[in-house]
Amino acid sequence: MAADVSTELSSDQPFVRLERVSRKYGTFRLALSEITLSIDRSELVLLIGGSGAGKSTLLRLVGAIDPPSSGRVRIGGEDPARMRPNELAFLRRSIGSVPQEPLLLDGQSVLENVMLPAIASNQTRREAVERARAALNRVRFDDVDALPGQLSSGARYRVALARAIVNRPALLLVDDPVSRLDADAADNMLHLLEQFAISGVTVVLAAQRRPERTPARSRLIRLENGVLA
Amino acid sequence: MLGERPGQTFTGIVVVAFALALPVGAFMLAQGVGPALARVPVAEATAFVAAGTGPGEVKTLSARLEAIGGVARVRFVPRDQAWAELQRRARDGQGFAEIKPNPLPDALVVEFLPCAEPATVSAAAVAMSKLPRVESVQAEIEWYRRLVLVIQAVRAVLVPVALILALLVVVVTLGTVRRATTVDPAELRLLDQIGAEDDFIRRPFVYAGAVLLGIAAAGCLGLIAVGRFLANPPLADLGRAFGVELALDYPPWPLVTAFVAGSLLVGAAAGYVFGGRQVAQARALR
Repeated sequence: MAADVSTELSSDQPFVRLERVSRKYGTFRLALSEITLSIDRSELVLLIGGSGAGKSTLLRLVGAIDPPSSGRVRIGGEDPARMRPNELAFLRRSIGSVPQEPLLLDGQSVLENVMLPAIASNQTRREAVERARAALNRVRFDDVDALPGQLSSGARYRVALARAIVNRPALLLVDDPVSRLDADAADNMLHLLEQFAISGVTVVLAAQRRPERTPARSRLIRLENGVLA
Repeated sequence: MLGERPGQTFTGIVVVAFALALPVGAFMLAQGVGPALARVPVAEATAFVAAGTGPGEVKTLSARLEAIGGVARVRFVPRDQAWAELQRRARDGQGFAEIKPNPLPDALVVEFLPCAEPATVSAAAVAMSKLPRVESVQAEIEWYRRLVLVIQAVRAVLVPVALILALLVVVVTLGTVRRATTVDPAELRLLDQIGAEDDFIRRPFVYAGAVLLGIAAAGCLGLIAVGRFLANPPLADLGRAFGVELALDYPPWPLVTAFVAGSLLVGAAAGYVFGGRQVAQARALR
């Protein structure tokens, strides 16, 4: 898979770097505290922690969706907090995110939902359709004309994953897929994520517990109450 | 965006069409009826010529009357014509037949400029009375003074009413565009998250605003056509009663084209602004 992030990283520089990052919601709620973490290119990271540990918050910081309350995040050597809006949009196109509760646009078909990132990155409609079909094939989803309201939660998650990979991201963030999928589907997804990592995509997978089959060449990171365990 | 809530969109278009019809209708009314109404309040004064005044002297007197400030034109009414007119209008023609000879003098009827100031008319009447060969001047000014005061009062009220209506039209139009282009903030955050640039996110808002106001402008023209069809017959009757021509005409085609094009542009601009605000608000909710 090609990476669209334009970087000038040397091979020994991490792809994602968090330096003493904290994230606070409101005045009192500290979701993450002083996280220092490096993730290398093409690495497959399992981020394990219970409910409320801060996994989703960490993924949102790594995905340049939210800024840190303190500390610094670097993705591909760049600090998203210092980017202009168009630069930030360009960075986000090279990051695929699948949140815990993925939002699909109800008025549009599965194919149109998956095409959306490709259209937003100025692909032609034909290219966007081709990419979307390829992405849906990879996640083994066939019913491209279905509407999101007709899908099970597991199916919605697979469609969201297809949307996340349609632009061939350099960084893929997947939030707790296992709890939404049956055992076979979860295993298939893990296998798929391994394939992405082998092909050069940096993958961070968040889960409440360690999967039954831990992917080879993956790194385990534990998060408890907003700090690295 | 507009198709997701068709009922709301249709209602919005109808509301804006009616709102836009107010200034367009007012413009047509001003164009069609205004000039006729401007002619209505015309003051007159009659200078009765002294007996024995020759035609040449009457002509000279007429020229001097025309030169007085505020006078639009002077009309000569010979005594015989005035006598015949009086007999025609009188109920008891028998009584007039017995009066010989014609007791009426020649008269010069002075018409003043439309909406001339009452003070100007009074001053002119005084000046007329001082001219040689003018026996007397008759000028009924009081009714004219009251009419001018009524017109001035109406104009004084019309300006603030027009301003308020204009403000209402703007508020209703922009408010309708804003409501019609409101989307779920979560969808905007999704677009933000997948790396869509601002222009891409705002584009549907621009299209929606332009389409909404464009259709509303077309609807407004339809309403105007219906209004014209209904209003012109009674307006024509009213005009005939006052001896003027009253009718509503469509604005010139260049103006109509500018109106529709302007509506499209305003709608697009409003959509761009409201879309940007929603994006900013959605980002702030993160």
